[in-house]
Amino acid sequence: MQISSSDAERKMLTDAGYADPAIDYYLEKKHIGHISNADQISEKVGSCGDIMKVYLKVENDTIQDVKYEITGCAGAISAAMAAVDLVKGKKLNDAMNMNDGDVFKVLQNIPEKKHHCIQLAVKTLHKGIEEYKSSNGG
Amino acid sequence: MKIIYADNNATTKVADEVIKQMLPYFGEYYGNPSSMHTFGGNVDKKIVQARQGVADLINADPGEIVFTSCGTESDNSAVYAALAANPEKKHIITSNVEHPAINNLCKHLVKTKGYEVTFVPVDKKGMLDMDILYNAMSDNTALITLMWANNETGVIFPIEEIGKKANEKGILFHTDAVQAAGKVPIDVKAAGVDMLSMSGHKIHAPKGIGILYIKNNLKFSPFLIGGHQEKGRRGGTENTVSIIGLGKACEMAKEHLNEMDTRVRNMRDYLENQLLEKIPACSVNGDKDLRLPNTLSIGFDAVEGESILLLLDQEGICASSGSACTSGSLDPSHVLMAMEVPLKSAHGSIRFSLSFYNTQEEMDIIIKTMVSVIQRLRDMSPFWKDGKMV
Repeated sequence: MQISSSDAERKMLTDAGYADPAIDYYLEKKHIGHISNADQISEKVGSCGDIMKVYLKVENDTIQDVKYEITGCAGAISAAMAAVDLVKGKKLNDAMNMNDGDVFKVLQNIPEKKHHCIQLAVKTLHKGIEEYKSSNGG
Repeated sequence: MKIIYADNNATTKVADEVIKQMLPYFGEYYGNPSSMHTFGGNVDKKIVQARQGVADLINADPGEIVFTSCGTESDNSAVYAALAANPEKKHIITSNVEHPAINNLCKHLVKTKGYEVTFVPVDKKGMLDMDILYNAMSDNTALITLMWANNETGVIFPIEEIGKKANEKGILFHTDAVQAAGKVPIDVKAAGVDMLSMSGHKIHAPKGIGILYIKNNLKFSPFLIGGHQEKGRRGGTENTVSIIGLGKACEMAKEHLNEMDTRVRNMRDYLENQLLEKIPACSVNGDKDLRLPNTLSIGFDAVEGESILLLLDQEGICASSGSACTSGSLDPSHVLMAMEVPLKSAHGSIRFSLSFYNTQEEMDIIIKTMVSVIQRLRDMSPFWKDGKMV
């Protein structure tokens, strides 16, 4: 049986307090998966137990590609997807400047009890960049 | 979309028979049961009948039943009454897997009133550590309060055995039977309990009605002080409509006890066995034998509970989860944590809780949907590669 995204799911997320951009990110999941020849793979556990693994492809100090694998809720997934769109194509140092507020602006809104999911998405990405830099003489 | 309701430990459908009994008392028969006139007195007769229905379900005398507003009020009333009856005693025994109505109240009493509380731990199957329980009993113990059955796992505590010990030691014993009532037989006399809490909406009565069983001749201080209602044990004009509904619901619960132990248990076991067989890396939380016949708590590795619920909801399937994401806090279920369920499993734990309204056909739909949902979530999990945990 194939379960597809549906109006019912969208409505439920809207009722829960997710804005449309956040819902789109959650339903599309466009940056979920792994990069087989990644230059860096880093993992972080959130305060709620959600877990993210980030894959980075880097060339000339520029983030060419990012993917996440996630064991987590809709808040975690939408936050990570938005974070990818913010840093893809950016210099590593610029990506380090991305913060929780930037992600929140892209999502427009997610329920207050899910704000820690944004922190997890950002921290996981920053951890990946830092670990990449430290293992590449940066 | 047809709803498949498998969240009956959260609340239950109000039975049609219950609604039918209640309806006339919303409108036509609005009398106050305390009134002298026949119009009010006729309502009182229905309350007498309802009290009998409740008493029959738990083998109590009707005079031992006090109607309250909910399970939480019953729990609070019982604890405060026990402490008031033993003002010199400053120790309470409970467990670390109780409902918040007891758990948070006990923590509150520690903080604000200086009580000492022993939170008896449970093992990995959710069973009480009986040595710690018995060793904690002392002359300073005012009350033992333990749930009959756990709301998340369905694990049943040995209430009768504990009641015997409490009675020997002369310690008051209260049990929160909100989840057990209507699912397993309850006999307050055999169990040796002094007080017992029940809630209407868990047994197909409406929300906003509960009962506290208070053993005959027990010294009792009311929680709500007011009029003479409930023989002075709970002030406030009776919630006549809901009481009448609860009485009918208890009659029905008694009639369905055998079905809970057979047809409902078989459906639960079928659901459990099929999920274990068809989905890798999942396990049942709690003791599989000493468990309510309707409850299945099952943890799926490498996925998160709220995501499971979202996808189930799309298919009209209602269940609940022990994950932190659904708790509104950053912590997963205190029950699963107390049982030392590994975080990776607690995070993806789902509770299915059935009622006599569920059907075998619904179980097949849940199973088929769960196989698909778990696969979909594992496809994006960092811990799941090539069909197994990494």
